[in-house]
Amino acid sequence: MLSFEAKYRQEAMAVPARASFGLLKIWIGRFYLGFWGVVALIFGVLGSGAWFWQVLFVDPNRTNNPLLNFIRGQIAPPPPEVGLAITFDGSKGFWWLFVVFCATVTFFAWMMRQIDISRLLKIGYQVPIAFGAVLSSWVTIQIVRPILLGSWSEGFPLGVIAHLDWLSAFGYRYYNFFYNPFHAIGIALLFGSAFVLSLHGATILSAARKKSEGVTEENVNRFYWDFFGYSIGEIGIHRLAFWAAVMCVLMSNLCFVLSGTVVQDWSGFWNFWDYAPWWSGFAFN
Amino acid sequence: MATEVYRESFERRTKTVRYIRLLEGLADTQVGPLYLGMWGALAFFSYLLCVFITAIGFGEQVGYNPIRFLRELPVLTLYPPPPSQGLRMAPLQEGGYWQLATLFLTLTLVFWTIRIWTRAVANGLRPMVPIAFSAALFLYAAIYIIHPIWVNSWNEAPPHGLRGILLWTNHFSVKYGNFYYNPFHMVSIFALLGSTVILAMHGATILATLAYGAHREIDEIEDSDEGTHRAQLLWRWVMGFNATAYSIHQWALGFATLVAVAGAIGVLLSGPAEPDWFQWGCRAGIVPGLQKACVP
Amino acid sequence: MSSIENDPAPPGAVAVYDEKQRTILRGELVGLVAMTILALGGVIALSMALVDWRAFQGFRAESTYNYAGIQQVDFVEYLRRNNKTLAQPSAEALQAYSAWQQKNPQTVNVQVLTQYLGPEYNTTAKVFEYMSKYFTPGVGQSCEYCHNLENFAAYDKPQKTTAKAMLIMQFELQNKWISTIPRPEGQPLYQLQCATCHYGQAQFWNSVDKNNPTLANLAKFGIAGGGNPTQYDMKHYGITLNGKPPASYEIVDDKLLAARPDAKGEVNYFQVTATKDTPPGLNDTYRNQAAMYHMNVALNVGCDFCHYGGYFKSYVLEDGTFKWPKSQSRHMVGMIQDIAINWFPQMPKVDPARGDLAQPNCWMCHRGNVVPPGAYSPGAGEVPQKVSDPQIRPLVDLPLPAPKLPQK
Repeated sequence: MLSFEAKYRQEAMAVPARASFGLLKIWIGRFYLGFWGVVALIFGVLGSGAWFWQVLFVDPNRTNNPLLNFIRGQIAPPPPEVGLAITFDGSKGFWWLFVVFCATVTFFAWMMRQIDISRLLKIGYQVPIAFGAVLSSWVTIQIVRPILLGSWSEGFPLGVIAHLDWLSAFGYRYYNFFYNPFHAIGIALLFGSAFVLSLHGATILSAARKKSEGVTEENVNRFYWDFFGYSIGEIGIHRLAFWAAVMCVLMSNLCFVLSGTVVQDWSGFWNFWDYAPWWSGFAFN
Repeated sequence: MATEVYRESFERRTKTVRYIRLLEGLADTQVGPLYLGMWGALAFFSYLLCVFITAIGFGEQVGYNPIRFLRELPVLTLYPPPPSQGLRMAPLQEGGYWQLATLFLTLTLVFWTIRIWTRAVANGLRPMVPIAFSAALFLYAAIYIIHPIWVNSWNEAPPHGLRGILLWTNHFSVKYGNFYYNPFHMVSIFALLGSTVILAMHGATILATLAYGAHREIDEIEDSDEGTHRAQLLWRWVMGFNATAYSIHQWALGFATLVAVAGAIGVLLSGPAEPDWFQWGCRAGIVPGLQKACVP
Repeated sequence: MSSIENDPAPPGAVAVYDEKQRTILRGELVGLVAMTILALGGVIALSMALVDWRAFQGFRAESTYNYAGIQQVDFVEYLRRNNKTLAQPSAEALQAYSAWQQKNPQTVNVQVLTQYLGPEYNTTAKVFEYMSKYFTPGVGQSCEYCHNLENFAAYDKPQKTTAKAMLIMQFELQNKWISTIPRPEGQPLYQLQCATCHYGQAQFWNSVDKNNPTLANLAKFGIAGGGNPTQYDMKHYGITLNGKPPASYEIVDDKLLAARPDAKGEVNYFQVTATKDTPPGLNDTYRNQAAMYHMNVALNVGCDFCHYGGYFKSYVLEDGTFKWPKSQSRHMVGMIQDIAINWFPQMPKVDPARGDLAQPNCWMCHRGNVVPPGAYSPGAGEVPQKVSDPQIRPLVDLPLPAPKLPQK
């Protein structure tokens, strides 16, 4: 327990239970349990247990090196001929559906748990909102898009290298994902996030623990005004951080869900540009 | 307030300070004063040259027709010299423009790094921002300069242009087997996605505890207060681990730096050390299935 | 500003501040939803307005290769989609034919059909059946386009000489390339006919449709769109046709024409993945990707239709499943090379003033389909040739002995 933790635990016990179950308002070691913690624990153990069992002990292509099995093993989604049918044990793809179901429940419970804890600590809901963005990505790729296309086989295989293969094939399947505008925005935000993170981390580290030298927030502001012309400020940088990261994930949702449902050829998607109405009247070529 | 250590011949700041009303409540509104300085002037002029050369190169492709320029801007590209030119200075039309533009772009980045360094020191800060920036500079150098020199052909460097850079990314991966099987690329992407996760976690945590003042990080690091306590407890209760106001920024800097450094190593090893990353995956035994796709 | 913020907050200030933050967050969330709806709506609207919606209906890029989802588009249906109808012999021609048939029940000077299809093509009625079933709809012309209606056997129209040469080419290509295509058991064997390339147009497709640069037309040729290299790009990649960059990249270039089989009899027209000995430079990769995008558009499939997405060089998926389309498309590129080197240059021309014939390419026959709508689908009785061992067939050595074409 941290030095100041007892006070906040007492405060948390005094918060009336609304969404969460007051009975389970307990801590196991450092972890808060709660109703959603129990749900997350059960389904998390079930799902990851099933995955490890399949990959390490059932996969017909397994080697006798467990680390190698972990890296190259996979649970493939149901074959295309199954469509959206829910397959049962023994049939191909059952374990994929099982793990995806367990993972989805776990992720949802984890988000609810973050909401609970935010309530107990009397702080805002930004953390569960950010986690919900990532959860929406999982749901979009593994559930919504397969349903839109009418086949579970559209989901990605659950495996370390296997999902990289899927990603590669997915990009080239729609001719070239680099031409997907939402992919482009998503990647820009991804690199932008790393850039913002690097700048913020470096800025705080460069000014931290220099109070004795008279270094304050004002020095950071002056530094940014000097070299960049603008200092976004202590609150602004975190708002930028939150939205850059969240938008990155949401844009990638768009880029996945539009592929195959609406747009088949991301290169050909840009055909409209050359023949857009605003170019008419100019003589070319 | 720390003293100015660096005396520069171009030492001047813009006099006007503007305020963006639109940002009120979201972020700080003040814009300026901007500092010029010698390194700033050098960076500005060399970037101007880079843009000018690129514009000339693009202009030649569209016959200096501004409407055609706008229409074809997404696909206009300055290509590096063909493989037959090796590392020579190529004629302008056959990659010379690219060489000049890249030269001035490199100079700009170097000057900019020095500029950040001098400004950080002059404002009494540790030079952590330029150090972090130089990681990105290393990735740039690896892609644009070191790798082409190593394989003895500028042709392997990325072209300049919106589509050109995307094509290069795609084709570089195809040429060297499959970059997804490059272990350094794996680490780099892991750090890239990890950076976004850390950014979201940190940003969200601080926004959630704004009311308790957790955003005053420089003060909180020295003397942590209620906001930081609640933020720490959030993660401790959620996942059993929490950073402190100081260590989260170390995590941040570490992850963000790893993106560039691991990526640069991955690029540098492609070609001279490993021409086909999929075959490397075959040798390492990480290819899924029965490794049937590893052609002899 | 720091001095203000470091002051202890007055009572109630925290609550007010929190309320303001909540308002901001609410505004941001509303903006986010609006943005998402706008983006979704924009893409859907653009796609419906500008992308050929019909092409998408039959499209499913198969991640594992099988023919289950791939149906040949009916030729008549294809013509209907392009606002065309099946051509019929004119009344005048039918009249002339019946007069000719009364006079000559046995054929006069019919050579090609008897040689390739069998001696039963020795009656005029049988030849007429073939002509009206394949030639007229395929080329979109009535008999008088090639024949002198007074004397069907005469060669007084240049069209007839060209048609005869084309027919020889059709049968030769069928025997050399189409019948030998590597394929899994049970996959139907389609056949060449006039319509496979001509699609009801006597003048060749490139010369007609390309001169009508509507968006739909150009998009189908792969000329518009981000995936195709511009002329400037081709200059830098070193792609040339007859020594200069072609107007648009359509697979046949000087490197393809110069490619010869190696010692193993294999031709690696587009191989790019590096080995220890690969010379530096990305230009070959750029050329390769241009060729691949041409095939994407021509067959309306994604790359993983032919390739294992993890490793383009491989002919098999990670589980060992053989990727037939990859060896098939290599085979087909060999046919394009054969046509471009051995057939088109010596093809007798109807109008010598029209210049060179266009180069063959994938779009010429496929037109956005895996199975060309113009290909002849054999009847149920015909058993497709079985190829059971998944070996890549070595391409036949090029150049061929010069085909025997009739001279004018």
